[in-house]
Amino acid sequence: MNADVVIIGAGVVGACCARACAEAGLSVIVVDRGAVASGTTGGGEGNILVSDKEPGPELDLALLSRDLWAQMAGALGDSFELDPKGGLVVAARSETYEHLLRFADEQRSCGVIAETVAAWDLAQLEPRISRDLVGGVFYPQDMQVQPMMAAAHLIEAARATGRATLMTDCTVTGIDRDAAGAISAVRTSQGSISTRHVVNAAGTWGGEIAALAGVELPILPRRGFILVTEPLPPVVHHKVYAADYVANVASDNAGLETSAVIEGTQAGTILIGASRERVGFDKTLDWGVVRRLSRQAIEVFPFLADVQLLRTYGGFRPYCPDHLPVIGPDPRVPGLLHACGHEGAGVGLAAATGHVIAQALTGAPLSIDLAPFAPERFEASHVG
Amino acid sequence: MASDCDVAVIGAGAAGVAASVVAARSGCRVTLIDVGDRPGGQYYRGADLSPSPRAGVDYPALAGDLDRLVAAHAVDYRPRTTAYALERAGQRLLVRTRGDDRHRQDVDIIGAGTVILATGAFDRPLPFPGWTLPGVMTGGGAQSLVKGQHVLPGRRIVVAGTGPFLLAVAATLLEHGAEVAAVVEANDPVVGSVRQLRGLTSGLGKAGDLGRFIAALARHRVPYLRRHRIVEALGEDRVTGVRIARVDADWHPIPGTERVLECDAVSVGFGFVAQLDLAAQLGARMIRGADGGLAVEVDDDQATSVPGLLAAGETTGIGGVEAARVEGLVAGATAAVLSDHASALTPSALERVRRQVARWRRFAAGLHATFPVRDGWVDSVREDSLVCRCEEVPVSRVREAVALGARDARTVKLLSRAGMGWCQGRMCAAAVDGLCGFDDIASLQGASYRPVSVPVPLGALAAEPVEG
Ligand SMILES: Cc1cc2nc3c(=O)[nH]c(=O)nc-3n(C[C@H](O)[C@H](O)[C@H](O)COP(=O)(O)OP(=O)(O)OC[C@H]3O[C@@H](n4cnc5c(N)ncnc54)[C@H](O)[C@@H]3O)c2cc1C
Ligand SMILES: Cc1cc2nc3c(=O)[nH]c(=O)nc-3n(C[C@H](O)[C@H](O)[C@H](O)COP(=O)(O)OP(=O)(O)OC[C@H]3O[C@@H](n4cnc5c(N)ncnc54)[C@H](O)[C@@H]3O)c2cc1C
Repeated sequence: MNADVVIIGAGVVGACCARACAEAGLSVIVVDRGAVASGTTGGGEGNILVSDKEPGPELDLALLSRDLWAQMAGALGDSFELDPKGGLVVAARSETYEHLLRFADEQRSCGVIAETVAAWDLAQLEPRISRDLVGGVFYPQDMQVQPMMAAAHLIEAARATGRATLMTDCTVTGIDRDAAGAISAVRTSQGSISTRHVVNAAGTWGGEIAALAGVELPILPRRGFILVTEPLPPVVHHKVYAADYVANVASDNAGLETSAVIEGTQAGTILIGASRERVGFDKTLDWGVVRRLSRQAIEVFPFLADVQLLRTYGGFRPYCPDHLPVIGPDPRVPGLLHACGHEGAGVGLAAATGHVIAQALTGAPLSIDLAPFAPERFEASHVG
Repeated sequence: MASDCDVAVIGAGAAGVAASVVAARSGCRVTLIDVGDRPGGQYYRGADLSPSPRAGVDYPALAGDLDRLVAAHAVDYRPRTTAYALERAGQRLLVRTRGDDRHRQDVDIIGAGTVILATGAFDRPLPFPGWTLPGVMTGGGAQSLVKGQHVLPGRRIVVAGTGPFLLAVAATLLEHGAEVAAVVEANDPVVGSVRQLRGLTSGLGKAGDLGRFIAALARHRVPYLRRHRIVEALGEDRVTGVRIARVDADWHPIPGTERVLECDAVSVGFGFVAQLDLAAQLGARMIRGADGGLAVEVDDDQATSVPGLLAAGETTGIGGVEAARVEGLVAGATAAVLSDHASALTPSALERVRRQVARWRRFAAGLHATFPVRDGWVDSVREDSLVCRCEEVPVSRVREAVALGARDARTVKLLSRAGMGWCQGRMCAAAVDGLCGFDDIASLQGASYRPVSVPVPLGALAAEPVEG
């Protein structure tokens, strides 16, 4: 077996990399130890958000990525439920509202569209929303996809070029390097694959793959749960969340943090998510989390008190100490590229990630500066 | 609101009733939680059974004991209550429960040193064209309509699927005045192993049961069509008949043998699936039961791999009502010992009961060998036949998920929505596995992991007290 590039991980990030590489003319083998979307992609939501990002490299990546998502959806038809519904961030107290308005101002200067919504206008966007809120900001660029369908159909699109192969139940056990230290092959449970290039799209397990190639990458799990309600007729029209969310995402607190993002799905269920905890890989449901998410959701939408929780699910977000993903060539190992560590935004950022990975592999000019996402930035000796 | 006991028993079928009585007789504080509005479970609920005044370990005696123990406040019996989750809190287990009125926030958290899981099983349906027509229902559904609500599902009914419970359902329907057009059995128990069956059942009351059902069928001249299967239910707005065919040993229809039976209701059942959500939430080790379905692993004391969690009855493998009762007795005795009480069952009585458990388990294994589910049922589904009724997922979408790279039931669910709805895959898991050819225990387990067993209002959860 051989390929121009072996992509490790069939999550949403690996899928976007596979499609972009195959479209760019490279021969691709995608390997996953489980099935498509069997990692974090199968345990998360599909929000593609610009609203929660502060000005900086991640916001630039997110803005590029949402446009690429819209293009991919156009090219692939409605196979993954892309819904450009927009996000509504609300504030329950006036200090939070002032903070939110300042935050929106800064975002606007970077190309984010943010429309201030006065308290009395909230009900026009969301008729069932709490009357106790002081105001909000509407972000029309926020979208959502069904991430598992997206991963599956993007890999399918890559395969349709005739240049990509998917190998499931295929665990990577080693990465071979030649005398010069460059990638020469990927060893798997289904045999060895000769290649000069590896894309590490193993998400939360990206550190393990890096170690197989002989380098360190500090990626850790951050657990999250999502509540799913019984199906209802459409009642929540946008992604709605309380402004504290913005503060939580960047927090370094190891304990439980939740801020309910509430959204309807095409199936009629309402998703309430998600919590953020650093507790390793323990998937046991924490009922304290359920209580908090329920309370927060009811504060924003009081009618939810009478709506039933049908099920919960969750996963482990891949996070790096500085909460930025790792994207691009690893100067320590020629031929190794990373595309992992996207934490709670891997779906949103996947399209741009695949796009720049293909650019890096084909030597095309990069759409975005990758320095902030450099894999070697965590080395003690690295001065950035 | 939060309460506490030595032993919480979940499910008041034969297993749960037996376990509660032994544990309470041994001096444990017992809380018995059950969905139904009276004890008895799948088999005895609704049965006209006068609880026996005498002591003993047959079901009527146990039911009488339970009544007295409840009246004496030795058992805190909570009918119309569902345990929706089980969670560990240090040495103790917490049972989260909700009442049956979704508009009242009657939730509770019950702490217990030992929990006995006796949640029984539910019907295993398999799809065929027309199976979603009104009038087509599961055997358990038909049974509870008749026994519970005294309503006949129809006037002329076809009972189909496989297993001895087809005979039980048919007998119940006949007793209540319905006409049974035929019992359509996909296996061939008579040629297969009637001798083996008789050998197993000699000396057991169960053989008497089966004999009674068969006699009832003969008396009403109901045809028992072995090696036959429904290939399609017919009708526009409701079922008006079924097309049946003779099948080979793997359930593939034999061409040219199709014919139509007219009827206005159909009861189908292909065995049962153990109700294991709560055990799975605590990560209890699972095995395959004798019928190939998932079961919680228990030792001779009915202890699971999770400290403090015992299991009895159908949860440990589909075995029938007598196996459930005797396993419940053992579990009650173990719970007593775990709560530092002397067991009300003497060592010699316990020994006797253990031997009965082993005998009933052998009997069950014999039944399952006689009434397996074979792959040939897949032949009759069409691309547009619904697999998952809750989310209206047809066969074609399930197959598409496999083409997209799904290799287990969980991924099929994520890519097709089969199993994401109200019943959380209870009704379609077996069908998905059969359609996709999934056969490993990991796939079964992945699909049956349900962190919330039954829906609970968010308001009730938000109002929960903060423990600890
Ligand atoms: C509760 C929750 C909510 C979320 N909500 C959102 C949201 O709204 N929007 C958003 O953008 N993001 C969200 N996320 C984050 C998002 O899900 C992740 O960032 C994203 O799925 C990561 O995708 P990935 O492809 O990098 O990783 P994964 O999907 O985890 O894929 C990695 C794959 O690598 C495979 N793998 C690992 N090791 C090996 C090996 N040795 N050999 C072969 N294969 C291997 C794994 O099997 C896995 O399939 C959420 C996450 C959680 C947990
Ligand atoms: C149609 C039909 C005919 C049958 N005929 C025969 C027969 O002739 N002979 C025979 O031996 N067996 C027969 N059986 C099987 C028999 O009913 C079972 O073997 C027996 O009921 C098993 O007892 P159990 O205590 O394990 O479970 P069950 O009787 O199923 O009791 C379980 C109880 O737990 C409750 N429960 C479940 N989940 C929860 C929860 N989360 N919270 C609270 N309560 C819960 C249920 O409501 C139920 O009351 C038949 C079954 C059916 C459906």
